[in-house]
Amino acid sequence: MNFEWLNQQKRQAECQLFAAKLNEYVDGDLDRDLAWRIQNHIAVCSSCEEQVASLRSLVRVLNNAPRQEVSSEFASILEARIAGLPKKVPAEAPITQDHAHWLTRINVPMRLTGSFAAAAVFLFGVVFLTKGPSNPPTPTIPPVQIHSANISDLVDQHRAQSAGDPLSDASAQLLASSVDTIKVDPTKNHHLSDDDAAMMLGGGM
Amino acid sequence: MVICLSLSDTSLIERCRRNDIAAFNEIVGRYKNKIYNYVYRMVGSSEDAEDLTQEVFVKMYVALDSFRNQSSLSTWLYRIAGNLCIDAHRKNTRRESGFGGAVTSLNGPVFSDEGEDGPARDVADSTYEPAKILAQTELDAKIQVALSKLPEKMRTVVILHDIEGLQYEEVADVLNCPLGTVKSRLFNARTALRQHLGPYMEG
Repeated sequence: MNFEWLNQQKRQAECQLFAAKLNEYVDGDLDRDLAWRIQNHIAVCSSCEEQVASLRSLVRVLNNAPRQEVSSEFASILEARIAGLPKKVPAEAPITQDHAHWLTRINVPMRLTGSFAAAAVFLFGVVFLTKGPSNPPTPTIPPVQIHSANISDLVDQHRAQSAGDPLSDASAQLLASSVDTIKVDPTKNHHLSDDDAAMMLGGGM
Repeated sequence: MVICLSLSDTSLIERCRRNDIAAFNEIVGRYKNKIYNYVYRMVGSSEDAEDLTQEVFVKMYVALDSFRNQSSLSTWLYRIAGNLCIDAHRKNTRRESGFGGAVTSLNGPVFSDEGEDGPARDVADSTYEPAKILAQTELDAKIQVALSKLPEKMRTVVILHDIEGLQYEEVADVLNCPLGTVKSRLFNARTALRQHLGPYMEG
């Protein structure tokens, strides 16, 4: 068995297998197992070792390429361009983590105040509804006090005036008839209801 | 401004949305040179690169409300810059100065009509070594020429990864392409660059 030939075949196979991975090996972007296998292969393969050395040199050159910088007028020119743009309508600031903490601290007393205010309104409403609206005082109309003597006098007076015309004054006749029906105690002040008064005085007409 | 220095990119963006110019200026201050360097390497002209970098931040300002924080601010800026570079390339604004011609660099002397003895650029350099600066200028020019010979997609990957220092995943995020694609393009780009920059590589 020609072991040298076998080893050579193995190295060639590894060269083909690892060629596309040399970049990632140089960049340190391979898993440990594969990186270890490539490291072992490089140790016995001068071709791949040269490839790796060349890649590392290239990367070093590119990493150290001179950095370019903007001119000193860059900022002022840009500022002028931005100033010339139409002003944007500020979007409503979302609550960030920086703000949320403070809002939490501020919001608690606000919530309490709001709760107290709501409770006060509720209680006021309950009291208001149960007590009922205080009606404005209506003027007290003193009950009509009709003395029986006055009624009789009025009737007699009316009869006297309209003696010649007994049927012309229906209300008078009605009043006259109602005097008889209403029992009035002359010793007392009587409070006639509106209906009684109307009946007596012909208010229905 | 002192307050803005300690704020995260996310916080600065929120402030920018509320027309906070100080926050916008802080973002510009953080990323202007990164974006400029990337754009310069893509287009090869310092003048065009500065214009395009301005445009990147103007577009960022205008499109702030559409930024959803799904990626980092730097990724978003690189993405805007890359798209603008592609647009510029399509408009055929490529100039000789960036590819095969004189390349301006803050580290080098100004090549004016007065010849190489023209006025020096007003940049303080406490370690003034003419040979070193010339070597850097020559190397920078060679790098730029070598990059210009790469296809745009390969150039983008090698600039973002090897020059700007982005990780594979970040590059994939900027370019919105699979990770395998990034690795494949980088492999091919480096293979091509080794041929152009061989004499400048040690060992």
